[in-house]
Amino acid sequence: MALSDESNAELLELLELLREERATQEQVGRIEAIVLADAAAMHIYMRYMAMTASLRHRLQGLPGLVESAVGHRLDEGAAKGAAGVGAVQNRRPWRWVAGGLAMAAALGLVAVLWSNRSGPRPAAETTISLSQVTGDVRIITDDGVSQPAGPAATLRSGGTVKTIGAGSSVVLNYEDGTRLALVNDSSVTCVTNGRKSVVLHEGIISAQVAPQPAGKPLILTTPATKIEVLGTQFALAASMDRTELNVSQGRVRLTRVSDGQTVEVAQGQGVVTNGEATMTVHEAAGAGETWSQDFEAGLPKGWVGAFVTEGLAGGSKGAVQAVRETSGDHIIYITASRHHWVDGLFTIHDDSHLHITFKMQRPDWLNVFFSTRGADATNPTWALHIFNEVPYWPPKPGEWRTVTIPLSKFRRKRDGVFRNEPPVLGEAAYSVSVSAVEPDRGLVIDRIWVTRGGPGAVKAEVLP
Amino acid sequence: MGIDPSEFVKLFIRHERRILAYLVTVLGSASEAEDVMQQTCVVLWTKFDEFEAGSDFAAWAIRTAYLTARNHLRAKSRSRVRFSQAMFEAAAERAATRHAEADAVHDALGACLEKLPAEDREIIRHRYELDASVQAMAGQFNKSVHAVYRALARVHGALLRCVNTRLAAEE
Repeated sequence: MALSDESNAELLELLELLREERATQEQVGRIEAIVLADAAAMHIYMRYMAMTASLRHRLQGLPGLVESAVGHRLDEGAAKGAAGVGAVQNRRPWRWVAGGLAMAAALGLVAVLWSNRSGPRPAAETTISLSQVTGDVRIITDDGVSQPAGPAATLRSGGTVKTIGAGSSVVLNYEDGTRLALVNDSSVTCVTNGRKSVVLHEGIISAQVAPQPAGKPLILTTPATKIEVLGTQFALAASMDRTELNVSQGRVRLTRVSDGQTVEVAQGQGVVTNGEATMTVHEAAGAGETWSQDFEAGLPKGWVGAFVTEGLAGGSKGAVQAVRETSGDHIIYITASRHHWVDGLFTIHDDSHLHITFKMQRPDWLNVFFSTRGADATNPTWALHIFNEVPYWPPKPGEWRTVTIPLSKFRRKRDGVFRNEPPVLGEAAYSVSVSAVEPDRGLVIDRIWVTRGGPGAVKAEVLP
Repeated sequence: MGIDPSEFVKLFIRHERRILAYLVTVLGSASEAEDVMQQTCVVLWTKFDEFEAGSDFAAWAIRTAYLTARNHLRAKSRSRVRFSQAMFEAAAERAATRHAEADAVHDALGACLEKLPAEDREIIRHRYELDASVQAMAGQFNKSVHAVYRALARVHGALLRCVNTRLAAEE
């Protein structure tokens, strides 16, 4: 059983693209053609995938969290046997936790479902109604069946709701008036069994929780934390290794799963858990009036794009290059900041201006977008805005240019159409993106920032 | 009589590596496999009362993972690249009959990681243990993004050769 060196090299190259999730559909098709035509190629494929799965499992670590999430401490011998040969010995504790967070979330749900199965069932099962369904929203039943959520959909206990892609959103309405809003790529499972339990697998949730019965707080679990809520408003963003919480009304108790550390977060306060030894509650200042990102110290966490250090504007140490992404039926090259629902990037004022210092190797026009939410992050309303006036683009190839755009020149999307309506004053931007449609235009941004004050008109300035 | 969750947890932990390897193989995407792994875990637990004690948990879990992955693919957005049904089924069939091999690969990989030069181990550590993006690694190692992709490909290739050699020696 052997594959030619040439085919072997091609397959490995394609598998690298697949592993990094950079493969095009055409390249995936090529992998299939090679693997399905040759048993030796299938063998290589199987080995490669088993190896990369093992690397993730070994170095990010799934074992251990399962038992802690369920709350059952296995005896040492059983745990050792369960971990099996090759269990990681030197895993960094916080990473050990972070790597298994998805499983913890799943088994946090398992624990909830367990209590659901073994305890008394309510006389009538509570359903949750969905409203403001926007974009790609799916309901996944507890036996794994997934279907698009219609405008009047309901969710039964144990069901999961998933919003897919920037701009997708939904509001979950409980009978007692509790409202949970999901935005962008987010996923929650909701269980009601005498009390409300919500597992946020990932993404953003804005919650307005009605007063809950004494002794039965709403329990919200993220991959890294458990949050008890009696009646409050808060916004929460969670990923595998980070949970960010801001409370705008009331008080919640947050417990970190990895070490049991608990903090009380009151109105106007926030907390971030990201693997640091001690969780610290801070004042939640909210979005500022101005904002700036110059990429001098690398890409901020969650920023979409590739960090570059060559061919920069004078005096600059770093910039971001647009990367390939699929958007609906289009391929675009984009750089974006998308993960600031909770803290916000900047607020909209009548004299706010956006500035971008950029260059393009193959000039064309650009689309600049920003999304806003209400000033209060617990308000589940949002809007998208665009600026793509052709006369201001493009620069000459490789020429650094700063374009200044009053935010009032952006057009707001309403009812699926960008209209000549400016952004609403007082709203907070939570994401910004700059993109061009295929082919790759070689877009590099050295700095992007928002100021109060400016020329009041669009201006383009060539840098020396 | 109630169901013992600790029994489920023990069985799941013992076999999760195989389930994950199976899902990565049939889906071709580690991140997607982890999503489906979560769903599979929940389905396994909710149906655990149907599992016959003493029977083959791994085979039952792999079958459940297959069904969950199939449902996931049916519901998946068209905008993402994906395997054809033929590839999914072929990989699923092959992986289901050889899921125990995931353990052998895992053990061999442990020895191979120890043999890596320190610089290559750092690359793997950043990508997997620290979950660093290629862009962040480029900044960290003062290399271009393309150079980091090349380095990752080279180290993966070396690890795969090492794993194949060790397993061939044991066969």
